[in-house]
Amino acid sequence: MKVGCYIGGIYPRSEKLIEATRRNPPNLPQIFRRDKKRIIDLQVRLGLTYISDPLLDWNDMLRPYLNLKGLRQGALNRIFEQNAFYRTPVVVDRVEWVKPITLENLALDLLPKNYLLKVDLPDPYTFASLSENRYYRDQRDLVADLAEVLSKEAQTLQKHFQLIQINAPSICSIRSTEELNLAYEALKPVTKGLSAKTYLHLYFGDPTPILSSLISFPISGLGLDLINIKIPKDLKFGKMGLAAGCVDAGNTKLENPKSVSEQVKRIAEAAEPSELYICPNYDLEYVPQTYANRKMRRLSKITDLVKEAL
Amino acid sequence: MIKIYPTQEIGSLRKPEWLLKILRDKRASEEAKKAARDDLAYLNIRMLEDCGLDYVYDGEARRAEMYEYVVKNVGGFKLAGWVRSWDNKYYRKARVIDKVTYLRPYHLEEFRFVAQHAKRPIKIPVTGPYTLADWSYNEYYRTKEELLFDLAKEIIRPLLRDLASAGAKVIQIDEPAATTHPSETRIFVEAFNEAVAGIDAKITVHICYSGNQYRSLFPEALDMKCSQFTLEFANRDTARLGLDKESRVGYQALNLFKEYGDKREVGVGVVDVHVDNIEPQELIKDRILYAAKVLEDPKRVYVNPDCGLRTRSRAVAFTKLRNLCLASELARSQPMKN
Repeated sequence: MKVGCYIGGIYPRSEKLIEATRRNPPNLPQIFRRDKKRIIDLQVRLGLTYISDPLLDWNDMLRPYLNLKGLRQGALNRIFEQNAFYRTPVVVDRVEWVKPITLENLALDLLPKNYLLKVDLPDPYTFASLSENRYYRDQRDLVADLAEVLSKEAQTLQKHFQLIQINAPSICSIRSTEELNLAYEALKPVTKGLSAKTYLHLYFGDPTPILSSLISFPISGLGLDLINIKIPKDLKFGKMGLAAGCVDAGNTKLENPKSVSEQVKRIAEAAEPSELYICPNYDLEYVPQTYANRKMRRLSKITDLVKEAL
Repeated sequence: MIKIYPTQEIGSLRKPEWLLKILRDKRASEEAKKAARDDLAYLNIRMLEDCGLDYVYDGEARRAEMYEYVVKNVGGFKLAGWVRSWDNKYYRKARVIDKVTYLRPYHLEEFRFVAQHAKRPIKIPVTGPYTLADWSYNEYYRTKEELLFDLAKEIIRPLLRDLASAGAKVIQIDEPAATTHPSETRIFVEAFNEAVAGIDAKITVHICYSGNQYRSLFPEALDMKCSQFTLEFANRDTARLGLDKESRVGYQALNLFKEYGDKREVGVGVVDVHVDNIEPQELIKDRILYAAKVLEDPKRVYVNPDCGLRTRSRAVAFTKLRNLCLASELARSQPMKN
C-alpha cells in the first residue's frame, strides 16, 4: 500500500510572529513570508509527501473568501467546539466568482520546485452552513452557487497542486439523506475533471453514521479524525484513499510513534484503503508552534514506521 | 426604592503602555511593578465610577489575562505557549501536568485594594472551573471531568470562600467556555454548583460568544446556583432603533428564559466590545427596553457591555461605558410598555 503524510489547514504562528503582528511594523508581510518559508522548509526536511503553504497569514479558513462578490464580513462566531472564532460570511447578494482567491492568498513562489504540493479549499456545503444567508430564499441555491465558485477555484489550483484537501467539518453532523445528497451534489462540480487528487477532510464532529455513504462521494479519499472517532470494522474503503488523522492537534501531549503506527496499521489492514496518508486530525494551529513542530516530527516518524510495517 | 437597570462592567480594561513598559523592564524592582499596578487599579476604579457604573472593579489591572493569571497561580499547570483566539488575538494556553493545587488566594490582594478605594458596590470577576479545564491541555487527568471537578472543589471553592470571608458580596464567575461543548452542559452545571456550594455571596455567571445563542445551556442551567446570567448580545444585533424583533435580532436568546420559566436576573450586553464604533444612547436604550419587554420585568435587567473591554482603547472603552450609563438613565425615564 502506498503510504505518505501531509499537514493541512492553518499552522500556528511563532511567538516572534505573534509579537510582530502586535507591533505591526512596515515589514510585517516580509516577516510572515520568512516564517512561512521556515515551516515549508521543515515540511521538506521531515520528508512530508505533500508540501503546503502553512497559511500563517489567514485569519480563518473562510476569511479570504469574504472577497467573493455577494459576501460581507459578519460577527465573530465560534469555530465548532473550539475556543477560537471566525468571522461569519454574510450573504447579501448572489455569490459569484470574479477572480482566483485561494491562489492570490498563497505564497506560491515559496513552495519548493519538483515536490508534490497540496492546498486547502472549503467544501461548499460547509461554507454555506457557516455563513449567514440573508439573500437566498432556498439554502440549496446558496450551496449550488458556492459549489460553482469553488469549482472555479479548484480549476485554477490544479495547475499548481497535486492534492486538494477539501475541508468539510459541517458534513460530519449530516444525518438526513436529503442533506447528504445536497453535500454530494455540491462536491461534484468542485472535483469534476480535476487532475489533482481530492481528499475530503472530516473533523469537529462524528461522521461515522454516514461513513458508508461518504465512501461513494466524488473524491479520491477521506480524511478522518481518528483521535475522536473509530472507523466501523466492516467498512471497506475500496478505491477510496484514507488520510488517517492520528496526530492530535487538540492536545500538546506528544504521540508515541510506535503505538500510533501499530494502531494505524491495524486500521489500514481492516479498512483496506487504496492509499494511506498520515495526518493531524485537523489544523495544528490549536497547539502552540513549538508543539506543532514536535508533532510534525512525530508525524514523519509514525509515517516511517507505518511504511515499514505495511 | 429599587433602582431599575443597574449598570455594571464585565472585567478587563486595556493595559496602558506605561504599565507594560514597567512590567517588561528587567531592571524594574518588584516594588515598582506593584506600585504601577496599584496606580492602574486606582485609575480604573475612578474611571469606572466616573462613567457612572453602579458596580465596579479594577479593570483586572493585576491580571495578565483571565486564564493566564489563574494558571500561573495554581499548582499543576505549566504554560505551553500562545494559541489564537481570533485574528491577531492570542492567549497563552497551559498544560495540566500534575494534580491541581490551591497555592494561594490569588485574587485576595486585589479585592482588598478595590474594597479600600471603591465608592460604589464591587463585583469581582473570577474565572470558572469549566473554562479553566476547557482551555487547558489535559495531560495528567484520565478525563476532562476529573480535572473539572478537582478545579471546582480544590481551587475555585476555596478561592470564593476566601473572597467572601474578606467581604466580597457579588462574585461573577466567568465561564466563556460554557456553551463550547453542548454535550458537556450537565458537567459544566454540576462543577459550577460544586464551586459555589456554601459561598455566602451573590453569585452571577458571565457567558459570551456562544455559538448556539445559549440554547445548549437549557434546561440544565435551571439548576445552576446563581442569581444572574450576564450575557453577550450586542455583537449579533442590528444598529437599527426599535423594539421590534427584527431590529433586536441579537437579543432573541432572551426568549429562552421565558421558554424555560427562568425568572432570574439577566445582565444584558448592550455594547459590542470588538468594534470602535460608539453605539448611540438611543440604540442602547432600545436594547435595554427590549430586554425588559421580553423578560417582562425591568427589575430583572442589569446593563453591561458584552464582555470585558480590554481590546478597546481607553477612550473608546470610557465612551462606550459612559453611553451605556446615560442610556440606562434614558431607559429608566421611559414608561414600561408591554
